[in-house]
Amino acid sequence: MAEATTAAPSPAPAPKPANVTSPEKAVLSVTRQVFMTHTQGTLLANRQWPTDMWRNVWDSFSYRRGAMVLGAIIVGLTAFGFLVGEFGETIQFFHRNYLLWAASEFPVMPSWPAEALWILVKGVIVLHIILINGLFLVWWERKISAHMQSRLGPIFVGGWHGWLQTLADGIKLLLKEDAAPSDRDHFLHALAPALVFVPILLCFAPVPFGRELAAANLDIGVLYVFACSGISVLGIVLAGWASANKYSLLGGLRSAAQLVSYELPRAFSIAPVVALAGSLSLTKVVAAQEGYWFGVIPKWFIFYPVVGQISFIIFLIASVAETNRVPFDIPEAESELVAGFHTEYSGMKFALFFLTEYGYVFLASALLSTFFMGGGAAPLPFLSVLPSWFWFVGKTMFFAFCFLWFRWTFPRFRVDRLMDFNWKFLLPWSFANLLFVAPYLYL
Amino acid sequence: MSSSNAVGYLAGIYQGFSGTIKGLMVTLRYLFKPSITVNYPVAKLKPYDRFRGALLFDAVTCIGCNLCVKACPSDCIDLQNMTTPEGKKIAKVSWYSIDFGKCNYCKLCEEACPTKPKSVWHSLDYENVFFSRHEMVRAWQQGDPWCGTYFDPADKKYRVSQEQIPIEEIPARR
Amino acid sequence: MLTTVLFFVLSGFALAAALGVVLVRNTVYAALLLGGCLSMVGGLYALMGADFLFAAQILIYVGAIAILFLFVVLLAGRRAELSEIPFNDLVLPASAAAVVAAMLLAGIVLQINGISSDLPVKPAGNGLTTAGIGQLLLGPHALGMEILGIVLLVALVGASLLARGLGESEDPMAPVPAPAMPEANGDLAHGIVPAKEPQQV
Repeated sequence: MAEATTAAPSPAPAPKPANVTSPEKAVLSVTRQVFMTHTQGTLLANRQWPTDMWRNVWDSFSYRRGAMVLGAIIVGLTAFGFLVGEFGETIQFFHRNYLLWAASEFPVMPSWPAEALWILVKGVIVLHIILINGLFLVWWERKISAHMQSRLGPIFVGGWHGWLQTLADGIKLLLKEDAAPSDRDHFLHALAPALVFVPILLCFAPVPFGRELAAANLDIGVLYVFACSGISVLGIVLAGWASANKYSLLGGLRSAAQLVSYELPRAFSIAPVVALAGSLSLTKVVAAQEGYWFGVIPKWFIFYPVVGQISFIIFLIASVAETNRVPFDIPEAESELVAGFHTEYSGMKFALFFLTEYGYVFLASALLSTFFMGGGAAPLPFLSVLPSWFWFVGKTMFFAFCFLWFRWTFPRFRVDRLMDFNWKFLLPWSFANLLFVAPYLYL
Repeated sequence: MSSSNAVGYLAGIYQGFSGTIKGLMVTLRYLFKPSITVNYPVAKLKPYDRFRGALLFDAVTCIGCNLCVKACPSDCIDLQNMTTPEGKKIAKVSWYSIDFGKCNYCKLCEEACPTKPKSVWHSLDYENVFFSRHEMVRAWQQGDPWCGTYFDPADKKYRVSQEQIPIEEIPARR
Repeated sequence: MLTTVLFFVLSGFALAAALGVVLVRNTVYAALLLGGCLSMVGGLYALMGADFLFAAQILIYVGAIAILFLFVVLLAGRRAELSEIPFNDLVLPASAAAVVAAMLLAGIVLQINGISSDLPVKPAGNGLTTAGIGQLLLGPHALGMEILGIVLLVALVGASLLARGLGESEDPMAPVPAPAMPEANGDLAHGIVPAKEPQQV
């Protein structure tokens, strides 16, 4: 016998021979016997094949319960919106009273410090919109990607379907070591995340979140948003260069080429909307979409025949490209470039890039609902009992869902085809769209 | 550009968009299907009946015939027969050991086992995780549980691995 | 008060960044400082109430031109070449050009001081700069804008001609001929030479 085959210790003292001499035949009839009970978890013994499970999903209790929970969430949110009501006017009221109070309390002071403080408060609110949006969208992206792939996604953190998962991730990112290549350009490597993040903060200034709910009612809102979002490219290119990594550099170069190119059809596709609204101000674009045709069809720009749809599709595609998301994610193509421009970033710097990406997703969705879906306008006249911010956030979240949906459906573009698609398809059609809008202006 | 080219161009655009929409519909359909994965540590799947999990051993029924040792392709089984006081081997096992570090879960030992019910067999346990290399070597004496014991070098004792959470009670198949 | 403080801060930063563009050795930093300088100038526009000009400045100069500069710098040089001395051999013509530019600038500044100290910063219009600029561009200055459009179109055509190469005389709209079908025994399209089958003896 091969003694060396097992690492079992050499036999301990042999058992008593008495046991050996009379082997009991009775023990041969072995019954079912639990040798160790499992202490945690329930056993899904009667699990079906997926195809059997999917054939009639409504038979399963958990599916019915899930549908009921979803319905309850929607009803609850609607009730919440109904109860809260419009608060744009309330904020205006607060603002007026605050200024009056400041003027009466500090009569010697000029009025601008009070105004500056109010602007600061608005800036902090906008910042928190971005942060909370990041918190929510990351979780949502994980859940939706999981369910599109028939998985469950994060499920434990926070108790209910992992809704606090992003918070846990954020704490992890805060506590992480800031590992960076020693060959990096120290100043630019640290500057790049800030340069990427600050523009998104600026971009949200003119976005109307509902009636009277814009942080700044800018006369040039459309141009301003496009201008500020263009600055982020600078940060991305610098991040690519300062990392001293060939993949980062490639990602930075690709993003420069892609983002500068896709800004053109994005801006030109908005030109018909601006022409129809007659103003660059986002609130006036929203105001131009109020009302209903025949009392049912809302006068949203997406419902203007031909021109609205072409504009919408071009703007949607270009927005996906501008936010660096699949299928236009060549700047950070993970299967080609590791992680592209943020390969060499970790910890909070990486989190800033991440936050910016989701901020831009939110911004693009907000712009889509502002330009084409009437901002805070209700889809049907009788639905306007719900406040405008409710409709705005609902539409924005729908478009944010579309962004996630595209991400988990489409494969990535090749670099040259990406450029071809932009210059040879989107841009000519956005020019042609300017032609299509002309009849509307004479009607 | 001739008219046929223009028609082809527009048809290409239509095809591209319709294909895109089709793809989106597929993912949307799957979004609303129940997930096929389970929430593992909380809910556990029971494997199919012919699943080859961790090996169990019953020292009572074993006749010490050495067939499993010879059948094992990775030399992970070892056994010692009991002896009479005169030193003669009898059909009873004194020590039996399986090194799970070497075992490749091939079921040849179970097929070779001549006893009825089998003395060594695969359970449905796919959770046999080990916290040390000592735990990988399972040893059985008469009276030990079917999952075996391991040698703890810290206090030089044989003990049942407490961390192992079996997926189910042992099935009737043997 | 606030306007004056902001004006001095912005112009100070703009001047510092402009100096940095010329003096910094690292070309990437120079391009970045150029972007900073241009955005400070955009801030000055905003301060004067020319908000359309501000947005256009940021959109075109910071969002496109500075990034193109960076793009070219990153594409062109390796790390070692990025810190060349930015002074070239043409010191004499350069200093002559600098003197002429300084004289022009001084002339303009002196003239402005001579005329008026507070120029109207907003263009004539209905108070909205965007609408005013639009009416001016499509009203009295329509011809100039059209000519500018033609110049840009010519530049575009020229760029595409340069990109395609002058020697090619083929019809640019013609579809690219499909590559020849690869031989049955080997994938010639990918330049793979078919392996010879071993001789059967």
